[in-house]
Amino acid sequence: MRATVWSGRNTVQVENVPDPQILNSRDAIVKITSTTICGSDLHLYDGYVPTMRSGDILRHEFMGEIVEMGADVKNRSLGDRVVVPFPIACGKCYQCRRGMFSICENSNPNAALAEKLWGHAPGGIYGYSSLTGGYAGGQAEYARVPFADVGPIKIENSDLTDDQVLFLSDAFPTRVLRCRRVRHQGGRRGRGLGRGRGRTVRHGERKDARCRARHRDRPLRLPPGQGA
Amino acid sequence: MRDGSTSHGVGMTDETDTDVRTAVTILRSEDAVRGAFADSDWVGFDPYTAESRGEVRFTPAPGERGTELHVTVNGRGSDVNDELRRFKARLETGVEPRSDKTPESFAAFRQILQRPAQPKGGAA
Repeated sequence: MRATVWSGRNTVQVENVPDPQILNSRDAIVKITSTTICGSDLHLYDGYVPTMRSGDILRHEFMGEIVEMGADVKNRSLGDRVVVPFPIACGKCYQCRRGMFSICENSNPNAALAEKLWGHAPGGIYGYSSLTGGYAGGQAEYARVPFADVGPIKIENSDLTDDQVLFLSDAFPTRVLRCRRVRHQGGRRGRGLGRGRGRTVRHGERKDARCRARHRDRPLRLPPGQGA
Repeated sequence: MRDGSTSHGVGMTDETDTDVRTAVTILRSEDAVRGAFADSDWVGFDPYTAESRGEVRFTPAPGERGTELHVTVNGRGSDVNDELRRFKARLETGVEPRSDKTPESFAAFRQILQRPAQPKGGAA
């Protein structure tokens, strides 16, 4: 398949790579229909994230159709249209049971490496260095999705376009979470609440209910021929 | 001997081949952890011998977090911790996590010898 790979600092290329395979009984393979790019990728592109290696497939936001499943994925079906959230979570550990999926205790096989560098390991993330597990990302024709019975969000309404649901994978819930965590200060604006690119979050007097995010930067568009 | 605690409830140890004291917290009952511990294939130590020597302890974890498994065995700290992480993952999730860079699941040597994060190709 074709995939976008990191080839060193300031270098990203589209290359032919092997197709993904089921490695565990809770895996699925997704045929990707849309993916994104965002400020977090610039940290990789600029070479600021250690443990990247030439050939790493990038990107942690993507969606598509399930084309293959492991035997223990019981709540999804072949052909399901799914948005894949960027944190890889087992759904069974103590942190997952609390809803803290991004610090899943079981999805990062390089947890010891991250602990040495950061003191605390996150769970797995697609396409984001060895420190977050070393999983291939979603800027490709296909991707392997571990713990596919937990993460992927099934999109049942066929009237919704990819562009309308794709950002459920990261950009939208990340902003919502930020809104909920920010201390409310009487409707004042909090700046710099998103990763990378500047985003402004305006929040009202009441928690959550009136919280909304505004992306003030120019919209990001995929290069021609990539993604959909 | 050295011990410590890390974010995933697995003890941090040094890398020399010596007595390693470490632990892991597993979200399962003590009976379930005891049973699985005895039934698992362990590399580097025999679970029955270790348990009879008092080198293995099972204690309730605070905050309804399951069971703490403490072991004191001779070996490389990173290898023992990898085994405990795999044990915890098998017990909690039914599988061992495998990524494209680290298809062997938790494996200390992969911290240095990383593959690219792309499918390996060939047979799974």
